[in-house]
Amino acid sequence: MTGRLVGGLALLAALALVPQLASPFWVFVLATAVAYMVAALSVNVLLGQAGMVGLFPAAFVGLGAYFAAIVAGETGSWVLAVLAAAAVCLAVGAVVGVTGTRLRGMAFGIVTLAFALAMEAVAFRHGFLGIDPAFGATLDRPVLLGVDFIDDVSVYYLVLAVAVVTWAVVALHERARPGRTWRAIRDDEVAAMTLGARVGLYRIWAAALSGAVGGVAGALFITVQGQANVESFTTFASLLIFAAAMTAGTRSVAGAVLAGLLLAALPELLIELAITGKVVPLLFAFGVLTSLKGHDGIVGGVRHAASALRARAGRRGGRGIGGPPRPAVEGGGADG
Amino acid sequence: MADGPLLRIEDLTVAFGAVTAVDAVGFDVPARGTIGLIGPNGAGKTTLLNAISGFVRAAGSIAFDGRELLDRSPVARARLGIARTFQQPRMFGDQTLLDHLRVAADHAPGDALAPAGAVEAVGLAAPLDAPCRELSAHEQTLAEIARALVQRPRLLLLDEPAAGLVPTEVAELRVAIGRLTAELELAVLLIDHDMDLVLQASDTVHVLDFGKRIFAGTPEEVRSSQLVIDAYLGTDWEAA
Repeated sequence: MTGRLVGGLALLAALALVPQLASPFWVFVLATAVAYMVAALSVNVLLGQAGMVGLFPAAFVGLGAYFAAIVAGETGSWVLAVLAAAAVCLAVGAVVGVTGTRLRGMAFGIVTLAFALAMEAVAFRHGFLGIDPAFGATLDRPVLLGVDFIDDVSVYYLVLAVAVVTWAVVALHERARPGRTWRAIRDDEVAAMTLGARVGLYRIWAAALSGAVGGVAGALFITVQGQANVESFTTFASLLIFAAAMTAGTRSVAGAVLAGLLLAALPELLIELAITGKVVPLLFAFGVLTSLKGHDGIVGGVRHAASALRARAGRRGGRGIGGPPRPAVEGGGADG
Repeated sequence: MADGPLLRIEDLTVAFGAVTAVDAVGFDVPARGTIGLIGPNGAGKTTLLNAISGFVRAAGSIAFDGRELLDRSPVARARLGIARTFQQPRMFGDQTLLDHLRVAADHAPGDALAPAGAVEAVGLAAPLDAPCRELSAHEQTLAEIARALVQRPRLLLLDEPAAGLVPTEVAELRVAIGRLTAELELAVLLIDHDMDLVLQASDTVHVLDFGKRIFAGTPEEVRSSQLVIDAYLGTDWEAA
């Protein structure tokens, strides 16, 4: 547990140092990546914790971005805009989550895919909330407590701060009763029922929190970009976020950070390095392979390798962070 | 309420299509002590447990503390104070023993038993931070019982806890069950193929065959019942 805390603080320190080391272009790219890290965090909650396949993260990112833009435009308050994005997506997530009280595994996944498709086709492409589908929504960078977040460095720190707060809210859930209950349901729903866990309620709760986190990601995304339209919130974008989160790992904040980098920074890096071709599919293939091996994505694979190395180095009783392989999806329990 | 039995099963019938797995079974479970349930494979023992805990549809009546259970969900029954284990321990992946006990405490209907107390009550020596996947079959069985005990259930349903255990482990299990009913003031309904375990641990034993209850009595009466010996225990039983 202490090792994890140190690792988390090191990760945060590295993220905080970015603007001091990177060029202005990369600060902008990495600020976008932070928004995608929060989007991946929404997958962590639903899949990593509750074991629910939600193929709709970009729908909540879009919903959050649009509501943030509208509320900011109406009230002039950026803080209120972010909270509104979270609140609306919390409610919508709960409503979609109701289907998760009856549907399990891929059946629920298909419902969430249908939701992503509906949001794209019916809402985002059809003047949803009065927003021009071609141009999209806009959000001006805020002035908060006298600080103008107009430049990319300051906005990077702003989105990073909100991302940390969001992660803290998620971590509070994960370390307490809801997180314990989600993981119990994920790993064996029948056993959780015999302990009196209200499975349906906790599945709705997971979907609602995941939706809210996705909504915050949307508010951060449009804050960084200034403008966003349907092309960022398509069904394909949902699948991409889901796949990146699974590839990176859905059971740790490190996985969410890596997923954000895969989604926003890796494509730019490949362009900068003039690497074309099949690197991204290869990366996803690697993620699928680590999942098939039973590890939690790249992060889980690395942790497993590290603990295996430590064990080989002679430390016995290594019940370390890597641990034995775990089922990739749905925990291999009754939910499968 | 205090005068009646903790659990009263009346005319309980569970049918899967044309097969009647439990056929008009009825008996009482008092608030304290251990009731044993034996019978050959397919006799309907586990189905009966599933009917009590709410995982199969059943007709008839199961009253717990005077309240009808059959129209309640498995979760609602658990919250009334009915806990159970499974033939294959159903543990939560590679979560630690402490995680298992904590989530049980989270959903306990009343005050939860401390994790250390639950582990001690079943005589489990594994460290609390051990991932349950790394525990032996015996330890997992005890861990699953400990997880149930954390909730301070009034009725504990044990589904073949001795399956896969060696004789010394079964002996330890029998001691643990005796300790539970004595110290934790609960009723145990015990199913197992291990006759010695059931007959030594139980106050009363019910015998099922083809879904029907064909005999009930004290362990001594079951041992000496020619009907039971002939039908279920086989000729080698007396030597056991």
